Amino acid sequence: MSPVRRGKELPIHNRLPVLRAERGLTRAQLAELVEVNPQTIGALERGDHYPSLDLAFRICEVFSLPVEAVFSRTPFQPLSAQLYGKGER
Amino acid sequence: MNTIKDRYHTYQERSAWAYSTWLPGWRNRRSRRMAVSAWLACTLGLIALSPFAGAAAPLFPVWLGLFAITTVLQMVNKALTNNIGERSARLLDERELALRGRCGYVGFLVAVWSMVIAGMVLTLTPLKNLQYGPFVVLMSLVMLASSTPTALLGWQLPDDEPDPIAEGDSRG
Repeated sequence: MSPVRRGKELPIHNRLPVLRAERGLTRAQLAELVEVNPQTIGALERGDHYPSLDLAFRICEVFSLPVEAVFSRTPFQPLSAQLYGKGER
Repeated sequence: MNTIKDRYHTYQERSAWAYSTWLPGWRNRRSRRMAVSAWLACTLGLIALSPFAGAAAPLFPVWLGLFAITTVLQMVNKALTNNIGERSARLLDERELALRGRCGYVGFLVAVWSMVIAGMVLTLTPLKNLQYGPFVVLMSLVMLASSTPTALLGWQLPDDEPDPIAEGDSRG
Protein backbone atom coordinates (compact mmCIF):
# COMPACT_ATOMS: atom_id res chain seq x y z
CA MET A 1 0.00 0.00 0.00
CA SER A 2 1.26 3.44 -0.84
CA PRO A 3 1.63 5.69 2.19
CA VAL A 4 0.00 9.11 1.90
CA ARG A 5 3.16 11.04 2.77
CA ARG A 6 6.58 9.90 1.60
CA GLY A 7 8.16 13.34 1.71
CA LYS A 8 11.46 12.26 3.27
CA GLU A 9 12.14 9.33 0.95
CA LEU A 10 10.64 10.80 -2.22
CA PRO A 11 10.61 14.58 -2.00
CA ILE A 12 9.04 16.76 -4.69
CA HIS A 13 11.22 19.77 -5.45
CA ASN A 14 9.86 22.91 -7.06
CA ARG A 15 11.06 26.12 -8.64
CA LEU A 16 8.32 28.35 -7.27
CA PRO A 17 10.57 30.96 -5.57
CA VAL A 18 12.69 31.41 -8.72
CA LEU A 19 9.67 31.59 -11.02
CA ARG A 20 7.91 34.04 -8.73
CA ALA A 21 11.01 36.22 -8.56
CA GLU A 22 11.38 36.17 -12.36
CA ARG A 23 7.84 37.38 -12.82
CA GLY A 24 7.76 39.65 -9.76
CA LEU A 25 4.83 37.76 -8.26
CA THR A 26 4.30 37.95 -4.52
CA ARG A 27 3.06 34.89 -2.61
CA ALA A 28 -0.28 36.60 -2.13
CA GLN A 29 -0.62 37.32 -5.87
CA LEU A 30 0.25 33.76 -6.87
CA ALA A 31 -2.09 32.46 -4.18
CA GLU A 32 -4.93 34.54 -5.59
CA LEU A 33 -4.24 33.30 -9.12
CA VAL A 34 -4.37 29.64 -8.09
CA GLU A 35 -7.10 30.14 -5.45
CA VAL A 36 -5.28 29.06 -2.31
CA ASN A 37 -4.18 30.91 0.81
CA PRO A 38 -0.75 32.67 0.72
CA GLN A 39 0.43 30.40 3.57
CA THR A 40 -0.07 27.44 1.25
CA ILE A 41 2.33 28.94 -1.30
CA GLY A 42 4.84 29.36 1.55
CA ALA A 43 4.33 25.72 2.57
CA LEU A 44 4.86 24.57 -1.05
CA GLU A 45 8.09 26.56 -1.28
CA ARG A 46 9.38 25.14 2.01
CA GLY A 47 8.44 21.60 0.95
CA ASP A 48 6.00 21.28 3.86
CA HIS A 49 3.16 20.52 1.48
CA TYR A 50 3.07 18.73 -1.87
CA PRO A 51 0.42 19.97 -4.27
CA SER A 52 -2.40 17.89 -5.67
CA LEU A 53 -2.25 17.29 -9.40
CA ASP A 54 -4.99 19.88 -9.82
CA LEU A 55 -3.07 22.57 -7.91
CA ALA A 56 0.18 21.67 -9.71
CA PHE A 57 -1.54 22.18 -13.09
CA ARG A 58 -3.04 25.49 -11.95
CA ILE A 59 0.42 26.71 -10.86
CA CYS A 60 1.98 25.60 -14.16
CA GLU A 61 -0.76 27.41 -16.06
CA VAL A 62 0.14 30.67 -14.30
CA PHE A 63 3.78 30.32 -15.40
CA SER A 64 2.88 28.81 -18.82
CA LEU A 65 5.31 25.98 -18.20
CA PRO A 66 5.00 22.18 -18.28
CA VAL A 67 4.78 20.37 -14.94
CA GLU A 68 8.32 18.98 -15.21
CA ALA A 69 9.70 22.54 -15.48
CA VAL A 70 8.14 23.50 -12.14
CA PHE A 71 8.14 20.25 -10.14
CA SER A 72 10.69 17.46 -10.06
CA ARG A 73 11.67 14.40 -8.02
CA THR A 74 15.33 15.44 -8.27
CA PRO A 75 16.72 18.78 -7.06
CA PHE A 76 16.76 21.47 -9.73
CA GLN A 77 20.07 22.88 -10.93
CA PRO A 78 20.33 26.67 -10.77
CA LEU A 79 18.86 28.17 -13.97
CA SER A 80 22.21 29.83 -14.82
CA ALA A 81 24.00 26.47 -14.60
CA GLN A 82 21.35 24.90 -16.85
CA LEU A 83 21.63 27.71 -19.39
CA TYR A 84 25.43 27.78 -19.56
CA GLY A 85 26.14 24.19 -18.59
CA LYS A 86 28.62 25.10 -15.80
CA GLY A 87 27.05 22.80 -13.26
CA GLU A 88 27.76 19.71 -15.36
CA ARG A 89 31.55 20.09 -15.51
CA MET B 1 -32.31 33.91 -5.81
CA ASN B 2 -30.99 34.45 -2.31
CA THR B 3 -31.59 31.05 -0.75
CA ILE B 4 -30.93 30.08 2.86
CA LYS B 5 -27.85 28.20 1.64
CA ASP B 6 -26.49 31.33 -0.09
CA ARG B 7 -27.12 33.39 3.02
CA TYR B 8 -25.38 30.79 5.16
CA HIS B 9 -22.38 30.82 2.80
CA THR B 10 -22.24 34.62 2.99
CA TYR B 11 -22.37 34.40 6.79
CA GLN B 12 -19.54 31.84 6.77
CA GLU B 13 -17.40 34.04 4.53
CA ARG B 14 -18.02 37.08 6.73
CA SER B 15 -17.22 35.07 9.85
CA ALA B 16 -14.00 33.71 8.28
CA TRP B 17 -12.97 37.22 7.30
CA ALA B 18 -13.68 38.48 10.84
CA TYR B 19 -11.49 35.74 12.37
CA SER B 20 -8.68 36.58 9.95
CA THR B 21 -8.57 40.20 11.18
CA TRP B 22 -8.56 39.58 14.95
CA LEU B 23 -5.35 39.97 16.97
CA PRO B 24 -3.01 40.76 14.04
CA GLY B 25 0.01 41.24 16.32
CA TRP B 26 -0.35 37.74 17.81
CA ARG B 27 -0.23 35.81 14.56
CA ASN B 28 3.11 34.14 15.12
CA ARG B 29 4.15 30.73 16.40
CA ARG B 30 5.25 32.01 19.84
CA SER B 31 1.92 33.70 20.61
CA ARG B 32 -0.06 30.78 19.21
CA ARG B 33 1.85 28.32 21.40
CA MET B 34 1.40 30.53 24.47
CA ALA B 35 -2.35 30.67 23.84
CA VAL B 36 -2.51 26.89 23.35
CA SER B 37 -0.51 26.29 26.56
CA ALA B 38 -2.83 28.60 28.53
CA TRP B 39 -5.88 26.84 27.06
CA LEU B 40 -4.45 23.41 27.91
CA ALA B 41 -3.63 24.42 31.50
CA CYS B 42 -7.14 25.79 32.01
CA THR B 43 -8.80 22.76 30.38
CA LEU B 44 -6.80 20.30 32.49
CA GLY B 45 -7.72 22.41 35.53
CA LEU B 46 -11.39 22.15 34.53
CA ILE B 47 -11.17 18.37 34.21
CA ALA B 48 -9.25 17.95 37.46
CA LEU B 49 -11.80 20.12 39.28
CA SER B 50 -14.88 18.57 37.69
CA PRO B 51 -15.31 15.47 39.94
CA PHE B 52 -15.28 17.74 43.02
CA ALA B 53 -17.15 20.74 41.57
CA GLY B 54 -20.47 19.01 41.07
CA ALA B 55 -21.84 20.20 44.40
CA ALA B 56 -23.21 23.76 44.38
CA ALA B 57 -20.57 25.26 46.68
CA PRO B 58 -17.75 26.14 47.04
CA LEU B 59 -16.00 24.70 43.98
CA PHE B 60 -18.76 25.07 41.41
CA PRO B 61 -18.38 28.88 41.04
CA VAL B 62 -14.60 28.38 40.70
CA TRP B 63 -15.18 25.79 37.96
CA LEU B 64 -17.67 28.14 36.22
CA GLY B 65 -15.12 31.00 36.25
CA LEU B 66 -12.42 28.73 34.86
CA PHE B 67 -14.86 27.54 32.19
CA ALA B 68 -15.45 31.16 31.11
CA ILE B 69 -11.69 31.80 30.89
CA THR B 70 -11.20 28.59 28.89
CA THR B 71 -13.96 29.63 26.48
CA VAL B 72 -12.22 32.96 25.85
CA LEU B 73 -8.90 31.16 25.28
CA GLN B 74 -10.63 28.79 22.87
CA MET B 75 -11.85 31.81 20.87
CA VAL B 76 -8.33 33.26 20.88
CA ASN B 77 -6.99 29.95 19.52
CA LYS B 78 -9.65 29.95 16.80
CA ALA B 79 -8.75 33.50 15.79
CA LEU B 80 -5.00 32.79 15.72
CA THR B 81 -5.54 29.73 13.47
CA ASN B 82 -8.06 31.52 11.21
CA ASN B 83 -10.57 28.99 12.53
CA ILE B 84 -9.21 26.32 10.15
CA GLY B 85 -10.39 23.65 12.60
CA GLU B 86 -14.06 24.57 12.34
CA ARG B 87 -14.42 26.57 9.15
CA SER B 88 -16.58 25.31 6.29
CA ALA B 89 -14.61 23.07 3.91
CA ARG B 90 -15.49 25.29 0.93
CA LEU B 91 -13.47 28.11 2.50
CA LEU B 92 -10.34 25.98 2.98
CA ASP B 93 -7.69 25.07 0.43
CA GLU B 94 -6.18 21.60 0.05
CA ARG B 95 -3.34 22.12 2.57
CA GLU B 96 -5.74 23.47 5.20
CA LEU B 97 -8.13 20.58 4.58
CA ALA B 98 -5.28 18.08 5.00
CA LEU B 99 -4.14 19.80 8.21
CA ARG B 100 -7.66 19.79 9.57
CA GLY B 101 -8.09 16.14 8.65
CA ARG B 102 -5.01 15.17 10.67
CA CYS B 103 -5.90 17.30 13.69
CA GLY B 104 -9.59 16.37 13.49
CA TYR B 105 -8.66 12.69 13.76
CA VAL B 106 -6.80 13.36 17.01
CA GLY B 107 -9.84 15.34 18.20
CA PHE B 108 -12.02 12.32 17.43
CA LEU B 109 -9.75 10.01 19.46
CA VAL B 110 -9.76 12.48 22.36
CA ALA B 111 -13.57 12.62 22.18
CA VAL B 112 -13.86 8.83 22.31
CA TRP B 113 -11.50 8.51 25.29
CA SER B 114 -13.23 11.44 27.00
CA MET B 115 -16.44 9.45 27.00
CA VAL B 116 -14.59 6.54 28.62
CA ILE B 117 -13.24 8.92 31.30
CA ALA B 118 -16.69 10.44 31.78
CA GLY B 119 -18.20 6.98 32.21
CA MET B 120 -15.59 6.01 34.80
CA VAL B 121 -15.83 9.26 36.79
CA LEU B 122 -19.61 9.23 36.85
CA THR B 123 -19.68 5.59 37.87
CA LEU B 124 -17.18 6.05 40.70
CA THR B 125 -18.59 9.33 42.06
CA PRO B 126 -21.61 9.14 44.39
CA LEU B 127 -24.16 11.26 42.54
CA LYS B 128 -26.17 12.09 45.67
CA ASN B 129 -23.38 14.53 46.63
CA LEU B 130 -23.13 16.07 43.18
CA GLN B 131 -25.89 18.46 42.27
CA TYR B 132 -24.33 19.37 38.88
CA GLY B 133 -22.01 16.34 38.64
CA PRO B 134 -22.74 14.92 35.16
CA PHE B 135 -23.05 18.39 33.64
CA VAL B 136 -19.73 19.57 35.08
CA VAL B 137 -17.79 16.44 34.07
CA LEU B 138 -19.26 16.28 30.57
CA MET B 139 -18.85 20.00 29.84
CA SER B 140 -15.18 19.82 30.91
CA LEU B 141 -14.57 16.90 28.55
CA VAL B 142 -16.55 18.53 25.72
CA MET B 143 -14.31 21.58 26.10
CA LEU B 144 -11.23 19.36 25.77
CA ALA B 145 -12.48 17.30 22.82
CA SER B 146 -14.05 20.13 20.83
CA SER B 147 -10.99 22.39 21.01
CA THR B 148 -8.27 19.77 20.55
CA PRO B 149 -8.09 20.13 16.71
CA THR B 150 -7.78 23.93 16.94
CA ALA B 151 -5.18 23.64 19.71
CA LEU B 152 -3.11 21.17 17.67
CA LEU B 153 -3.28 23.50 14.67
CA GLY B 154 -2.22 26.44 16.85
CA TRP B 155 0.78 24.47 18.09
CA GLN B 156 1.82 23.28 14.61
CA LEU B 157 1.31 26.26 12.33
CA PRO B 158 4.65 27.85 11.42
CA ASP B 159 5.56 31.51 11.35
CA ASP B 160 4.95 33.22 8.03
CA GLU B 161 8.27 33.65 6.22
CA PRO B 162 8.94 37.13 4.90
CA ASP B 163 8.37 37.44 1.15
CA PRO B 164 11.25 39.52 -0.34
CA ILE B 165 9.17 40.30 -3.44
CA ALA B 166 6.28 41.67 -1.37
CA GLU B 167 8.72 43.64 0.80
CA GLY B 168 10.32 45.09 -2.35
CA ASP B 169 6.86 46.11 -3.59
CA SER B 170 5.98 47.84 -0.34
CA ARG B 171 9.27 49.75 -0.37
CA GLY B 172 8.46 50.90 -3.92
